[in-house]
Amino acid sequence: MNHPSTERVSATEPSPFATKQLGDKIENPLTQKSLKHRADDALRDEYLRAAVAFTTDRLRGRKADSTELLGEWEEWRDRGSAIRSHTIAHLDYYLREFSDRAADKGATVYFAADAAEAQSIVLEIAHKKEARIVAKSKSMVSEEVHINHVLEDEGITSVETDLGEWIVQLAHETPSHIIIPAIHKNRFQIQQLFEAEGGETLSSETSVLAGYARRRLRETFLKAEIGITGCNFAIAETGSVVLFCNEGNARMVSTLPKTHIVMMGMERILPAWDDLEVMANLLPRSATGQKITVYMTALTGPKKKAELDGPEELHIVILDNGRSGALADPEFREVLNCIRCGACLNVCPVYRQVGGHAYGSVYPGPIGAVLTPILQQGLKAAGELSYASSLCGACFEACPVKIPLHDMLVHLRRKYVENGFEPPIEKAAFKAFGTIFSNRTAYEAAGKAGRWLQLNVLGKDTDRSAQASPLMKVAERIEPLAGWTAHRALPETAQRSFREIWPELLDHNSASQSPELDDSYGA
Amino acid sequence: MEREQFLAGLASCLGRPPQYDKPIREFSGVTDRYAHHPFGQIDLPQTEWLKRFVGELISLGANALVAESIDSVPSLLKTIFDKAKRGGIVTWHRSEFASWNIDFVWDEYSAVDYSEANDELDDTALKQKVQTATIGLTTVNYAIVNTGTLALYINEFRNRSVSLLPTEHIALVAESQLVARLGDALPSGAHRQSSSVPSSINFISGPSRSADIENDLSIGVHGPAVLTVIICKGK
Amino acid sequence: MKVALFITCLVDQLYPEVGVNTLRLLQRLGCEVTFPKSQVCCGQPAFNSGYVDDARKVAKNNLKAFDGADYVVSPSGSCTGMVHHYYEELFADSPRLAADAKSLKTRTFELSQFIVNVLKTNDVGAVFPHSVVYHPSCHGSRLLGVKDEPLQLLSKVRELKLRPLTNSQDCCGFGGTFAVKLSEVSGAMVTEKVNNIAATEAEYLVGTDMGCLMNIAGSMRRRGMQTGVLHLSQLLNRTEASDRKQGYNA
Repeated sequence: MNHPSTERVSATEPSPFATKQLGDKIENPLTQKSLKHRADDALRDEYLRAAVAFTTDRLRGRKADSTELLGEWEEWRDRGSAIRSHTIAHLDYYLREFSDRAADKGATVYFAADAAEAQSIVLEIAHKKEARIVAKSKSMVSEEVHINHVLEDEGITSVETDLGEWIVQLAHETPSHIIIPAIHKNRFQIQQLFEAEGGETLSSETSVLAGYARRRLRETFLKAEIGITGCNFAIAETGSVVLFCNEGNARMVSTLPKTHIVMMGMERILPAWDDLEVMANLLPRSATGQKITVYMTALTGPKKKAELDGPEELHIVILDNGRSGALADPEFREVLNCIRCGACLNVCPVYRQVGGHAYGSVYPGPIGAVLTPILQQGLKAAGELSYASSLCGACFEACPVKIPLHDMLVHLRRKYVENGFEPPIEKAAFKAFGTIFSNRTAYEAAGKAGRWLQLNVLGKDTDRSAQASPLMKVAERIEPLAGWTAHRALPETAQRSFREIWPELLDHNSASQSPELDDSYGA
Repeated sequence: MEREQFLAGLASCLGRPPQYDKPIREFSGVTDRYAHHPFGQIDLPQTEWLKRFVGELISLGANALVAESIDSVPSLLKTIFDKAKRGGIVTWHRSEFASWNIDFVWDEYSAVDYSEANDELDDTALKQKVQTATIGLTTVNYAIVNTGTLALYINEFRNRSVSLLPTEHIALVAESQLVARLGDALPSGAHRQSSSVPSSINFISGPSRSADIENDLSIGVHGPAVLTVIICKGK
Repeated sequence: MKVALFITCLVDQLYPEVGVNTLRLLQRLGCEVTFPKSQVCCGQPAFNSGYVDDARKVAKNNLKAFDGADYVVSPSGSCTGMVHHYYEELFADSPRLAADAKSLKTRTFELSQFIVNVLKTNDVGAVFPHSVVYHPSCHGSRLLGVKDEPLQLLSKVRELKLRPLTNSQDCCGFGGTFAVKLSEVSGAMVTEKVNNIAATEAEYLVGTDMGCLMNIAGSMRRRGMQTGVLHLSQLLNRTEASDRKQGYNA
C-alpha cells in the first residue's frame, strides 16, 4: 500500500470527524451535518478510501477462505441464527439466570435502563474505589454511553488499551470500524500522536510504534485501579463473561486492576457453554478470517480467595439503552442477534467508499444504519442513515447470524416516510408515481409525453455535449437529473415504447422492419 | 433499575408475562455433523492429531517442539532458557509439573513459583517477579487440535499472569491432553453445576497480535510475543 | 408453454429492444408469449424509498395484470426480486391479495432462471465470438438467488470468452433513487465498477438488469469507453456470428 506524503494534516489538528475535545460538551456528528455532506467529505479523503478498500478487501478475502476451510458455512449460519433468536425470545429468563449465577460466584450485577444510569453506576464504583486511572479494553457499549468522557469530566483518566482504540482516543475521534478502529489513520499520524502523548521521539516503523504502545500501556495496566471491558458473550448457565481478544489487553484489564467492570449490552448472552463453541467459530472467521481469536477468556466471578491475580471485585453492568425498542418490534427484533463481527462493513459497497465516520455514529456500516436510529438517536436524527445504502443485500449475505439488514433498511425508510421526515417534494413525486404507474392509460400517456419532450424539446444529445439544446443543458444540472449526470451520461430515449411496438411483434415477418429490433444503437 | 422491573419490561416487549421456567430447546451447541467431523470432510485419526496440532501452532506463529519422550523435555527447555534474555522465569506452582520431571527449572534456573503457596516470597515480591520475567512456564488442561488452541484452567496454583505478562510463554502439553475441538475443552456438565467453574479459563492460540497500524501485523502487543509449546509424545 | 411477458417499466420505456429480444428468445425456445397490456410496474421504486402506500397501488395493478398466467417471465432480476421478496409483505393486510401475491411468486421468473430451471435448458444455440464480462445484479443474485443460471447460459454460448471481473459481486451503485439521492457515493461506486470492467479489456459487458446496465453504460460513455453493453437476452439471441458492434456504446 502506498504511503502518502508526510505533509498530511498534523495529527494534533482537530480532524473534521472529531467529536469532542477534552472538556467540551459531546457534540453529535449526526445532526451537525447531513449524511450527504458527511459522505461528500469522506469521498474527498483519498487516504481513507484507499485504506478502507485495502482493509475490507483483505478481511473479506480472509473470511471467504476461512469459511470455505471450515465447510458447511450455511449450516453454521443457520445454527448461529437459531441460537441467537432463541436467546432473544427468552431474554428475560436468561438474564435472570445469568445474574443469579454470577451473583452466586461473587459478582455484582446491575441493570441499567439507559446510558445515564450506566454512567452513574460506573462513576459510583469509581468513586468508591477512589480510582484515578481506568484501563479500558474494547467495548462498543462503553462508547455508546460515552463512558470515557464521563470519567474524564470527573477527573479520572480512562485509557483505551486496544491499540487501534488508543490511537483513536489520542486523536479525539470515534472508531471508524468495529474491528479495526483506526483504519483511517496512517503510520505517520500514529507516530505524531504517540510522540505528542509521551514526549518521546519515535519512528514510523510498525515495530517501534507497537513496542511503544506495549511499554506505555503496560504501565497503565499496572497502575489502574479499575479495568473496564465489554462482553462478547455472557453465559447464562454459569454467570460467565467471555472476552475475545487478539492483543491481550482484555486479559490485562481483567487480571491486573483490583476492580473489574464489565459493560454488557443486554442481548450479548448465550444460554450455555455449548453455544459458545458455535459463536467461537462464527465470530473470528467473519471478522478477520481467523479460526479463533488469539485469546478467548472466560471469566466467572472475581478471583478466588487464594488466587494471586484477578480482580477482587467484579461488577457487571447490563445495559438496555434502546435495545428493548428493537425487542418489542418484530420487524427489528433480529437486529439483537448481532455478534458485532463487522462482516457487514467489509462487504458494504457504500462503507467501502466513505468509511465509518460518514455514518456519524458509534456503530457504522449496515449494522450501524439500523442500530443507530433504533438504539440511540431516534428516527428523526438518524433515520437518514437508512438511505446510505443501495439495498444490494451484501450485508445480509455476509452476516454470520443471517440478520436481514437489507429488509430492515427498507422498513426503516418506510417508518421515516410515515413520520413525515422526507422532503415534501419527494412525497409529491412518489404520489404522482403511484397514481400514474398504477394505471395503464395514464402511464402510456406520460411515457408518450416524456418521449416527445426528450426528442423534440430537450434534444437527443444526452451527455453534456456542446450541441445539447439550452433546455437540456439546464435540465441536466438540476436535481434529480444533476445527480445522475454528474457521473454518467443519460440513457438515450427510445423512439417507441415496447408496448407500442407489440402489435408488430405478433407478426414474425415484421421483424426486419422496426429499428428497435436491430439493436445496434446506443444507450 | 431494579432487576425484576427491568426483566418485566423485556417480557412485555416480547408480548408475554415474565418467564421463570427453563425454555425448551430442540438443540444447543454445534451440529451433530460437526461434532462427529471436527476436521471437516476428512476424518483425522487420533494418530494424526499431533501432526495437525503442530501445523496449526506454526500457522499461528507459535513455536512447536515435539519431545519424543519425557526424557527429552529438559534439554528442550534448557535450550530455550539459555537463549532467552535475562529476566527470570516464573512458573505455575511446582506441584503442577510433578509428572514432568523438571526440578532443574527451579533448582538450576532459579524459576519462581508464582503462587500464594510459595512460602519464600510475599505477594508483592511475586508480582515484581512476574512483571519482570522473560519466561512464563505453564502446563495446560487441554490442547485443541483443529485450531491449535491451549486451554488453561486457572486456580490458586495456576495463576493468570504467568501466561500473560512475560515476553515468552512456554506451555507443556502431554499428548493425551489433545482433544479434537473446542467443545471437548469446555467445562463439563458436572463442573457447570457445582461451584467449581474456574474464575478464569484462558484459551490461547498463538502469540499476541494486532493489525491496527496500517494493517501491518504486529506480534507481541500486550500479551507474550513468543509462544512455545512443547508436546510430549506418549505422555 | 404459455408465458406472460412482464416487461418492466424501464425496459418498456427506455430499452424496448431488450423486450423484443426477450420475446424472440422465448419464442425460439418454444414458448407461446403473451403481453398482458394492463401491466405497468412492479412498484419497487416507491417501495424501496419507503413510500409503501404508493408502491401498493402500483403493485396491485401488477398483481391483477398477471392473474391467471401460467408463467410470468421478466428480463429483470430486480423487478422479479420485488415480486418474490416483498409482495407478500406489501399485501399482508389483505388475505386475498396476499394469497394472490404468494401465487404470483411461484409463477414469476427472471429470464435466465426460467430458461435454466423451468425450460431445463442451458444451451440456446447462441454464437458470440467476443470477450465478455458479466455483472451480476444485486437484487437478482441476492434477493432472488439467481447466481448460477446466467453463467450456465453464457458457458454454452459458442466462441464466447468470459473474463473474470474483480469484485463482480459488488454493487454498481444504481440502487434506484440511491443513484440520485446519494449521487456522489453512487458515482464513486460506479467508477470502481467501471475501473474493474476496463481492467478486463473485454469487448462486451453483459447483465440481467437494465437498471445496472444503464448506470454502468452511462458511466462508460462519459469516460469514452467503447465497451459494448448488452442485456443477456440480446446476447443469447445471437445465433450467428457478426463483426458488427452491437448493443449500447456501439
